[in-house]
Amino acid sequence: MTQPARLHDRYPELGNGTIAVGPYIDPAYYELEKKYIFKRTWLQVGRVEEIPKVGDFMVRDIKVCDSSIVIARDRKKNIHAFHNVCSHRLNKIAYEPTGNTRKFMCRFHGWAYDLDGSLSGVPDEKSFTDFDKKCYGLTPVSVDTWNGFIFINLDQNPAQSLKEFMEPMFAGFETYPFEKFTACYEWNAVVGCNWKVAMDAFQETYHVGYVHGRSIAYALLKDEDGNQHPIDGLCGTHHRRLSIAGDPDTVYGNPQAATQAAEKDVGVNQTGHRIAAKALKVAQGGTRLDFSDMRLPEALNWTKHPTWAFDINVVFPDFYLSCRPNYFQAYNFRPLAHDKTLFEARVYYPEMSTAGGRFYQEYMKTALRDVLLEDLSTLETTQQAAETGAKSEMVLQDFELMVRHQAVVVDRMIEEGLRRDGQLKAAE
Amino acid sequence: MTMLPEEFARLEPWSDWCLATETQRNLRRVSLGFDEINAFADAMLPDVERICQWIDAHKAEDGSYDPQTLNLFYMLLSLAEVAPAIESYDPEVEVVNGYDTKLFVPNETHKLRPAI
Repeated sequence: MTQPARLHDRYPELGNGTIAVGPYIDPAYYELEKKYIFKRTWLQVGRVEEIPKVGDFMVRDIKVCDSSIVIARDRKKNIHAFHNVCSHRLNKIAYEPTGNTRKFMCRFHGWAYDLDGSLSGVPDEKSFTDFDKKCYGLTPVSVDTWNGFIFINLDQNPAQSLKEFMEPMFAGFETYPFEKFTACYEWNAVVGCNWKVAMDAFQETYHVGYVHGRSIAYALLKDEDGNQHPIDGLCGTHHRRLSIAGDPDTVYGNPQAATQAAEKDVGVNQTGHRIAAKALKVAQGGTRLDFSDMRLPEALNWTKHPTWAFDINVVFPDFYLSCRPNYFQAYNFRPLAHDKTLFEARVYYPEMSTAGGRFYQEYMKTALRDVLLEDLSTLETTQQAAETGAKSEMVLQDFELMVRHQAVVVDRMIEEGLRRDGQLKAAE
Repeated sequence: MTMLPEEFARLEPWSDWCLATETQRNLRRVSLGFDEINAFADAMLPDVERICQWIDAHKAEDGSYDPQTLNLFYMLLSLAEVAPAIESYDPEVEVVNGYDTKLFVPNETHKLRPAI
């Protein structure tokens, strides 16, 4: 039997040496990331189902962009994004994190804006000289959607459309049933680590046997040496993907769970998991969805692995999307400072119509939350260790390629930005 | 007035687990000893099927439940809350070497979060 190709062999341009610790701890590097990456890249901020009706809005404070952004659905049901900054003497126009409104009103002097951001009401308007309301709408922010995910871009004229940005790595996701998974659970934590430290902890499986040894390691497929290598990995210009195999005889390897079809297939090996076994049993028929004839996109499980469990998809820079046959996870690692990150974790399941289905979902959700607590446990200690300066380099194994890819892409984008600015200066 | 429907009087001693939110259920789990949560799970497990049938049979047309059935539903969700401790972290009640659960806060008001 031939050895499978090493992932690193396929991407020689990423190098194979150690990677520098500096970018994880240097406040100056963080300022460059803000300027050359986050303020000019598409950033995922939520799903269209969160603002389904006319007048629905949500506010997203994006610290790494020094911005507070309002995303709203207007009377024509179009989605708009604008800065949460009044055009008069500043202050805000939205004060709640989410809501439904007819207009946005500034609490300072009562200026009113329509849902599309246009200025519609100015108290004592005649006292302004040569005043044209049309010139004083809210400052727009580029906004677009990809399979129901809302993305914003602080660059008013983005170098790439969202479609152009996503397609090279994520074309073909259109048939994944994102819109069917409308039961969402979210947790948030402000973690004392660099955003790349946080993302790194989620884009390799090397840690699974150790960090998750007590919990979900049993659900991933082991090779004959006991390793849990990913099936495959893909690195693009910005994005990256890992494909993971699972053990089908677990609560996680049961994509028909909670459907009617599940009744034919309860005989899972749940040794040591008596509550999981019970949850699977009572969940039968808990959701009206039927996954038995659902065809997942070819883009998922791209190697056609027989016991594929899920793919990890990293949408550059800070969005993690893990698609499984019967639910998906969507995480953001939002930078707050060079050593502080807001971790937003969301999981989306089908809605359950029975108590048994809901119990199964609570089982899955609680287990996930606790697994995330395992993942989170490494972040602050890693950051603290990085900041001691004892090590200036980190060494990676083949299957940690995504950690390398992230470091290389971030570095490249900063270099490109600096070069562009240098050229602009030279041209002046 | 009992917390639970009369048919589940056997579980009445466990009614402190009738907690409406994940935050409350998790807080209770991590505040108890392993033996206590394990005893709760042992008490619940034989009745899970019957509990589910009861809740589904007592769902009103508008999707609501009478207070005692709702308590039973919350108690069922508490069983899911203690599951990771029993299946993964025995004899600990918390995630072993885990991040502080109180700092990983559920957004109980997320628009797409199920009402129960």
